[in-house]
This record gives sequence, structure tokens and C-alpha cells, in this order.
Amino acid sequence: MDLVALGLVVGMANALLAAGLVLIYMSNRVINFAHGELGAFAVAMMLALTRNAHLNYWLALLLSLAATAALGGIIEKTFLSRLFKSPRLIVLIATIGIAQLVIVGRLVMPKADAVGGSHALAGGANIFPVPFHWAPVEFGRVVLLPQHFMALIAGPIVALGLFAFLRWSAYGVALRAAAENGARARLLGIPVRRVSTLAWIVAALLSGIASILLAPVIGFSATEAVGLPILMRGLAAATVARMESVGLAFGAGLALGVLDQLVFFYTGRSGLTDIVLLAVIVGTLLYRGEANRRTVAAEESSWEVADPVRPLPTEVANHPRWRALTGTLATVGIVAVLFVPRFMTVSGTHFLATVLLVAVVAVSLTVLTGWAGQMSIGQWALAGVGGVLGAKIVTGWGVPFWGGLVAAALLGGLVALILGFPALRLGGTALAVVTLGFAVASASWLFNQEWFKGTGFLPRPAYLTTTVYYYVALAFLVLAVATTRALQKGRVGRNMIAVRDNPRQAAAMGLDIVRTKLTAFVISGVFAGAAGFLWASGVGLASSTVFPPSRSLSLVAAVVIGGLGSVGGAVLGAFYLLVIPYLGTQISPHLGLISSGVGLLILVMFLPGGLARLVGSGRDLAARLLTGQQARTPVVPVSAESPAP
Amino acid sequence: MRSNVVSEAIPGQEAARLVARDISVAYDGFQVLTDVSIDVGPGEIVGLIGPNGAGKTTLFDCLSGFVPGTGRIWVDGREVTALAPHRRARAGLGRSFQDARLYHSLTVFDTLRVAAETRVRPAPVVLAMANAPASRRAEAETTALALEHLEVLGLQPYRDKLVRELSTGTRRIVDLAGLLLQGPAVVLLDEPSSGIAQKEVEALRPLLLSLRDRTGCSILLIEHDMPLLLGLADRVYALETGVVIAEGAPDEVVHDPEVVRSYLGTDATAIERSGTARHRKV
Repeated sequence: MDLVALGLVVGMANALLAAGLVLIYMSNRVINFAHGELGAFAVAMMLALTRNAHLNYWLALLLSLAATAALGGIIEKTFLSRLFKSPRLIVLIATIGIAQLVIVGRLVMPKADAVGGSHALAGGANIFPVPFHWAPVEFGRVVLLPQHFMALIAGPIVALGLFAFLRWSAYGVALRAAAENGARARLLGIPVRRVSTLAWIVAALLSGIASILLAPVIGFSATEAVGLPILMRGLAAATVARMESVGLAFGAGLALGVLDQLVFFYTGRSGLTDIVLLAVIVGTLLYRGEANRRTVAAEESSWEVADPVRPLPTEVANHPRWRALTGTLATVGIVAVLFVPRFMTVSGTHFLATVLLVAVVAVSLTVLTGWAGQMSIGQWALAGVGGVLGAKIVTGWGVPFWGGLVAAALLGGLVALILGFPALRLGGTALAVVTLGFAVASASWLFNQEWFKGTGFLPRPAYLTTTVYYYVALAFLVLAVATTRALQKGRVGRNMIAVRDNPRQAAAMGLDIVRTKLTAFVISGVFAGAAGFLWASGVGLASSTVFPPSRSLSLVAAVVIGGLGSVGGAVLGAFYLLVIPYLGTQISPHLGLISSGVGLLILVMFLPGGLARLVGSGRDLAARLLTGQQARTPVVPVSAESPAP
Repeated sequence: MRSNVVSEAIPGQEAARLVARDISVAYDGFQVLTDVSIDVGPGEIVGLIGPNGAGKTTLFDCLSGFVPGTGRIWVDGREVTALAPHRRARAGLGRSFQDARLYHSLTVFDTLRVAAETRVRPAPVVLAMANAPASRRAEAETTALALEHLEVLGLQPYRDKLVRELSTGTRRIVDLAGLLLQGPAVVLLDEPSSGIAQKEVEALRPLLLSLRDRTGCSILLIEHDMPLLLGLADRVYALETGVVIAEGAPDEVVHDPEVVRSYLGTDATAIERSGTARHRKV
């Protein structure tokens, strides 16, 4: 009973978060990946207002919640309303971009560490403001502080308000109608779009309240990584409720809070929350795998690129002038990448080497997401498996460095294969949730386990100087690009796209769907794992701190910005994401997130083909100018009745 | 369900290309098909008619392994009842879908190369990554097959077009080219005339006949366009609410009182299109 009371405190916050996620899903049919960030934004604002501006708690609360709600509304008006008819996975990717921008909004706020002294703000009420102060109350085995009572009292009040709103207000009814059947609701004159704005405002408010209630209880760190764990809490409960019932989501949130506390109490280990949440998500989704088919069908159209880059016609490609140009460019390019270390500082060379390795991970994500259509938001965690476990093998078991690299590749492939099995039964969005859960849980739990991690360090052999390291990374990227391009041009890539576009048709043509998908997972995992190992050896660290889940989101951003499905685009995307912030640190320390978030949003709204499309158009134009021939063969229309029998 | 052993002889049907016995399918406790038995002989074109909701497409889905059901199925004398869809395809069961969506982001050329999966023995993935000779050989073989079938159906101008850029009519022809390439023993065609213009429908008949004549396959055909169906079919099954209500020569079945009542109605225009006529029958 005492443990249940404590569980309900956390559960109340989970429940409010889940309710908000369900609200947005009801009105937009998308999982809002920015949901946790909205809450974190509210918390950061509370901190700034009370700690730095020394405002009264209630005034600060009012201002923070108003700002968060307004932010929700603005986001909906600016982005979501423009993506109203876009494929849902595109919208999901847009919410990742939004999340990154909200993080920036939070990070530019005056830091409360002016008071706390340290960057991390763990430790609850000592740092996070609480309006009431009274002596702790002992209840059985637990001690209840004022912030616990706050959650227990405020939670139900907010919940009741929400239910009353959904049940009786005109907007609540409209929202439920819009969720049930958007097109029909619109025909009946319900302003579906305005309802969507309202859903975002309410959801942002709920996320804000939940996070403000949660912060003094579980502590809050002002780093980049705080939003995703918050999101996970809501996501698990919302998944249990099938994203369709606010009430059920609320109940599931409470139950998960209690479960979390019980697990914590009986195992005596902290940090299990995320793994419990992941287990609940995977279990629920697999149990209901079939029931999710409906959403899957709606998402099948999600991966089309409006105007993909096509190979040049042979007469253009073989034109002497065009060959001369591409030959020259290739030579210049090869010379440039080979001699780069001579012209750069050691740290610059080292940086470039790490970018090359991140590009390998982006290429691995292209195989999995771009071709096989399997949305992975945990690719950096796959790299982490290779890095952390590979480091253990090298430092703990005394295996030589290169043996560690091979082991990392194999282990990456193996873990990807394990992730692939649930994916066989899950659709795009559900898989995105699972892989996100994997990313969060591996950073907070798996990579910290004694049996999994070694010393947390991964030294390079002495002969791997920065310059040599650069060449190793370069060779590895060339290998990754060459092999994946070979696959793309041949049967493997073709079959992956066929299975993604139309699995039943593919099976009817004799393609083994299970095998094709799992092949994508394994290839992807092998490259990610090996790249993660090399990457970790570059920074010398192999622990959860260098494999945060937020970078998995950035990788999704990289491949989308580069042009989903394009190998060259993935490399470009990785450079875009890492090089801009490197060059512009003096402009803003958050330039990485800004360029990623802005890039994603611009891409999904205006340029779905990504950078690869831009480069492709440039190539077509250059080819035409140079050879005087059309870069694309015009098609002679032939109607169906004319073909020879 | 039985394992995939080569069947013992099925009485009287030794040479049949497709044999389905007592197929029953239930969704959520709702009986969609009840004890449906179908035979398709070598080179035969068999029609399947019935009102919407009769279970025609469900029967196709069950035959090709997408929908679980009870009963037993043989393709080309081999029992496929327990096999996954792609294994049935490899056993010689071809299939077209009503929407003929194919793969919207593949080119026509690549779509045909995908269709070569059952014909060309693939190289292992690792060799494909290294672009090894074995992989290049398999690719060359695939490409040759695809080029050949582009030409057979006059699809060369569309070679590098994406499937989603094609009209429904052209997509159907690509679909047929794929089936031709697969070279199946028996093909299930789900409403090849749906979504295409009348003029193109008339062009379908010679195409379907050439599909049969070139590959020697048998065809089981769902079709609402009666003139097309009657011009092609050697035999017809009529299905209503999941039960076979009539079976036999096309003329007999379309005049069967049960079929007229449940499906065709008494209006003669339903079966005889103005201008064209049934005298085109094979």
C-alpha cells in the first residue's frame, strides 16, 4: 500500500503525459516525439523563473504553463497544420525536428546552475521549487514529501478537468468526432483543424503539468537528454491504451507508475524504469500485432520520394565531355580526401574521422529505413552495442583491437536481428516506438550494466595515430558506400524496396518477406556496430554518455535531410549535421540542434527528396549544359491496347 | 494441416494444375468461405463469379496463403497447404491483385527483375555486397529475362518509368509481364478489367490468352465484366456467401436460375455488351 502510494505519484505524471499523447494521436494520427520536450520546456522555464528571476511559485507556474500551452499552439499552427495531409511518418519525422527546436528553446533559457553550481540538477526539491514545505510524512516503508502530496492531489484534479472537457464541452465532443472519422467530421462542419490546434494546446499543457509534478520527485537534469525519458513514460502508457482511449491511457499510466516502484523496491536497483517501459511496450505491441494492421496500411505510402534521382541515360553518361568532367571531379575528390590530414590540425582531422564514422551509421540507417522501410530511432544505440560491448571484449578479455572490431560488427548484426523479430509483426510507427525505447533503455540501463560494459574506455592501439585513424575511418566509409551501392543496384536492394512498397505482391512473386527484412536489419546492424566501435575508439570512451538516444534522432534527421534511401545522401546528411555546428560553435553552441531541427522541417515541408535531390537536379542540369542532351529520356506514350500480343 | 509432401494422387485429378478441397475461412467468427472446392486443369481458363462479398478475393487470398483457412491445396500435384505465400509462388502459383499496385517506387524494369526471383538462383548476400562474379552472373541472367519480357509486351518505352507514374492499364500490362516472366503453373487473376477503360478491357482478352499460350499456364479468373469472362472461360464457378452455387460451362452457369437470382439479374445487358458480342468465345 505504501509502495502503491509512491507509485501513484509517478503514475500520475505518466498518466497525464499519456493522455496528452493520445489527444494528439486522436487529432493528428501521429505520435508526437516532441511531447516530452514540451514538458521539459515547462520545467526549465519554472526553474529559470523561480531560481533566476526569483518569482513566486504560483506566478511562475502560471507563466510557464501559459508559455508551454502557447508553444503547443504555435507548433501546431506553424507546422502541423501544413502537414495535415502528409503521410503520417513524414509528420512523425517533423515532430522529431520540432523536438530538437524545443530543446534549443529550453537550452537557451538562463540556466539555474547559476545557483546550483553544477550542470546537473538531480536531487529534487532542494533545487526544484515546491510551493509547500512541511515535515516529511512516514507512511509504511516510504517517506512522503510535500511534492508527493502535490502530485497525488493535483493529478486527479487535472484529470477530472480533462475528462469533463472531453465529455461535455463542444470542443471535447468535436475532438472525439474528429478522431473517430476526420473526413466525416469535416463534412458535418466540425472545424477539424481548429480542434487539432486545441489538442496540441491541451496536450502541451498536460505535458507541462506532468513534468512539473514529476521534476521534484525524480529529479531533473538540464541536459539535452531529458525529454526522451519523459516521452517514454507517456508512450508506454499510451501504447497500452492503443493510442485511442484517454481514460485507458490514464489508468495504464498509473499502473505503470506503481509497477515501476514495485520493481525498484524489490530489485533494489534504480534505472530500471526505462527497461520496464520498453518491456511493456514490446509486450503490448506484440500481443496485439495483428490488431495494428489498420495503421500499417495507412502508412505504406509513407516512403515515396516525390522525384527520386535516376541514373543518367547511357548516351549522356558516356558522352566524352561528361566523362571528362566526372573524371576530373572524381580525381580532385580522391586527392582532396587523401590529403586532408596534411592541411588540417590534429583535432580537425580527428573530427573529420568521427564524421566519416557517423556517416557509416547513417548509411546503415539508409539500408534499414530508406530501403526496407523499417523506421529505426535507435540506430546510434546499435552503434553503441558495437562500441560498448566491443570495448569490453578488447579491454576485458584482452582480444586484439581488430578482433574487437569484427566482434562489434557481428554483435551489432546480432542485436539488430533481435530487434528485427518484433519488427516483423509491427508497422512503421510501432517499430519507431520500440526502437526509441531500445535507444533510451540502452543508454540508461544496458550500457551501464556490469556484464555489458567494460571499463567504459576504449583505447586505440598506439600506431593508430590521428592521421592513421582518419584513413581507417575513410576506408571504412568507402567500404560501406561501395558495398551498399552494390546491393542497391542489385537484387537485394530491389527486393527490399519491393517488400516495403507492397509485401503481399512481393510474396506473390516469390520473395521471402521475413528473410528480406531481417537481412536489412543484419546488414544495418553490422555496419552500425563496427562504426560504433571505431567511433568509440576515437573518443576513447565506450559508455552510455557517448551513445545517447538523442543522437539516434539526429541520425534519422541526417538520412531524411540527405534524402531518404540515397547512400550518397546519407553521407551528405551526416556531414550537414555535424560539420555545420563544428564550424559555427562561436555562433551558437546549439547550432547542431538548430540546423538539424530546421533542416528536417524545411525538408519535410518543402523538399521531400532531400539534399540528394538537390545534387541530382544540379547534376542533370550540368549534364544537359555540357552534352546538349536531355538528362532524362522522354517517354513515348503507348496505350494499353497497342502492345504486341 | 499436412506437411508439404508431394501429394498422393488426387482421384480423377492427376493432371490438374490447381486443386483446392474443402476450403473454409472464418474471420472473427464470421464464416466467409464454406467447403469450397475448385479444380483447374492444364491450360484451362476458369472463371469465378459472384456478387460483392461472396468471398472470391478471400478465396484467392487463402489459395495464395495470405489468409489462414482449413482445407487442402495442391499446385501442380504438390501439396502447398502448409506453405508460406512465397513458397507457394515458387511452387508455381502466380497471383495478380485487384488494384495492381505493384511497387510504386520501383521502375518497370526493376519490377520485372523482382519477378525473376523464382527463375534465377540468387547469389548469397555477402557475394552481392562484394559484387562478386556469382552475383553479377545472376544479375545478368535476371536482366536478360526482364529485357526479354519488356519486349514481349511492348513495354520498352516505359522501362525507366516508375510504376506510380503509369496508368492503371499500363500497370496491368506490367503485372502480366511479371506473371509471364514468373512462368507459373497456374495464375490467379483478380479482376484484371477493374479500373481500366472499356477500350483497354477489350485488349485484355488477347493478352490473357497469350499469357496462357506462351507459358502454358492455367488461369483462375475473378471477373465482373461478363463479356470478357465469357469470351475467355472454359468453365465457371459461381460463388455466393462463401458457397459454390453453380459450376460448369459458362453458358450453363450464367443461365442457372440461382446465379441469375443472386448475381446477374435478368437484364441481358449485364452479360452482353452492346457492339461486342459473345461470338468471340474461344
